[in-house]
Amino acid sequence: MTEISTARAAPRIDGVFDAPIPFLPLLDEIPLAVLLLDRQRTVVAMNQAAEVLTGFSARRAVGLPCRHVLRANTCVRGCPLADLSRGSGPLCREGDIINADRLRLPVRITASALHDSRGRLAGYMETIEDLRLFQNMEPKKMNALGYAGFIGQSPRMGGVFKLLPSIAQTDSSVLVTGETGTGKDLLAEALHQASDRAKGPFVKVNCGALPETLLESELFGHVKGAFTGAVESKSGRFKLAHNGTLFLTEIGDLPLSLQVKLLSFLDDKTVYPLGGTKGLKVDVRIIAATHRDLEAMVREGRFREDLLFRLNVVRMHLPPLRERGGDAEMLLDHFLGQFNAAFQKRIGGFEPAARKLLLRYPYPGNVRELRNIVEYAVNVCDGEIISPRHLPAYMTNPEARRMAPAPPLAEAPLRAPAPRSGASSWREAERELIMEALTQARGRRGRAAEILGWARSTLWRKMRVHGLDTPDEEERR
Amino acid sequence: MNAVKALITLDLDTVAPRFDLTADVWIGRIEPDGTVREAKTLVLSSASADELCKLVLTEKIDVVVCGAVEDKYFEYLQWKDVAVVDSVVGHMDAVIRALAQGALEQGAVLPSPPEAE
Repeated sequence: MTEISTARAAPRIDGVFDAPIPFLPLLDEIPLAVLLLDRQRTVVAMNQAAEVLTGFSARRAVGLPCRHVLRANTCVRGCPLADLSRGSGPLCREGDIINADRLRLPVRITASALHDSRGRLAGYMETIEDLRLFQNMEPKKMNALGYAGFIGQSPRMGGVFKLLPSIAQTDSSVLVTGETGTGKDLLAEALHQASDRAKGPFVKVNCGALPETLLESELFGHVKGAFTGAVESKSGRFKLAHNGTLFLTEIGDLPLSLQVKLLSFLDDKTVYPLGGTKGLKVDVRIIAATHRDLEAMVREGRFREDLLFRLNVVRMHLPPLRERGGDAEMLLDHFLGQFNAAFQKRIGGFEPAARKLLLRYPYPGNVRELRNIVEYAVNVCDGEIISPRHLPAYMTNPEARRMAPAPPLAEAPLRAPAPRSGASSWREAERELIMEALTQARGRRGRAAEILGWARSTLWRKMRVHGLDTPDEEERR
Repeated sequence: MNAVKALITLDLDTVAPRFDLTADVWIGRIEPDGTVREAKTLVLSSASADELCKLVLTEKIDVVVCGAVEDKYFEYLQWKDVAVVDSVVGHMDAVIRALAQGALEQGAVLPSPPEAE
């Protein structure tokens, strides 16, 4: 990425306190995203919350036109600053932005003009509120079928709902366990939103998604010159999550060397950027999640026992769908309504035979799999009721079903990491099926989709889910 | 480098900040020496990411240059073998030059003529 250099003296505030104080650290203390613009609407400063929201570092953003940093729909459909410059008071607009991670986020932007001591326009200030928090509150308030985005009234989920508010308030580290697709991410976000840190950032890091060196820099940051290519200092996710929550998903995939660093942080709440000697105190709550059996990993020497003790202050386990009794039926109806609205369909329900099939299916991929099956059925169904022929072939075809692994025993809430020779979950089995089909088809996706009996778009979507598409795309380029 | 057929989403003469809100596009075939052939600017009846994607496919575009783009459209175009260079800031002429040189990167901030911004 190209960056614009800004060699200027560090700004400070005079006349408020006994001694001048630096301005930018003060800006960083504001929990709302703040952008300061000059008269030409070019970014002159932005705080840490704005970095988190937009995904742009302040260094990259400074000097760019605001509309290329904020990237809001209001920038295109009538910039509110144009009205401000004509002398109006502060303006508030709701809209959306697309951040550097290519996510569209609902926001509320408040813009005000800044004037110098002689009343001349000096620039503008924009504060941006992330409305995801409030959007997520709506279903919470309105949904009598569950709690905090979860759907379910089974006793197992009732236990989780009962614990959630009190655990959210404790500020202790939380370890969320559960099989794939049970809603660990949703629970982590619900804990954050029900906590006193809800106004602070919720920063998620997938510990299994990055190579070790990149992950260390991503988590703890680095100082300029720490390694080849470290041309500038970078704040890590710990610092970005200051006063908020850091969600470490797939904690079981965290390399041992970084486990030591995480343990050190949990001891003294201080992060040491890569290549740096000076520590930085941050106030961050850690929520970790995994589908792996960490106790077994400890026995195998792949996970530090002391880190497990540190993380395991509070453990919340999400039950698999097969242990949630009637929740599956509620979820079927819930997702049917959701996809009806999303795809503008008018499907009234499930035929008894289809419902029976759906309720008997073991759902090794849990709620995520159920959701995907309903999405598939709603897409495929061209009538007003879903029948068995609208369900994926592996549900109705005993041959295809035999290929799916048996669900783990109900008594074993967590499973050991899968041996490489065999799949331990539907997700892994599906990944292997896709790999086999692609190998058989020599990389031709159309042929692989035929082998699997899927539409090409289904194969593409599933390849994305399993992270199988990117290298292939690059090779083809 | 071979000639590439490019589509640049436009806001006046600069790259538009949002793919989904762009109704103006520049399309042209860029030779490695910087020569531009078959250049045209289209004004769509309304801004729509879906319509833009359709246009990209019907025009058999090799590379799309844009500002912010949602992940689903980015992934869709990649899947259709269309390269997407997003988060680009700069004047259309600078983008064409960079494309001809094979030097355009995601997130590039290209120098703009003073009157362009």
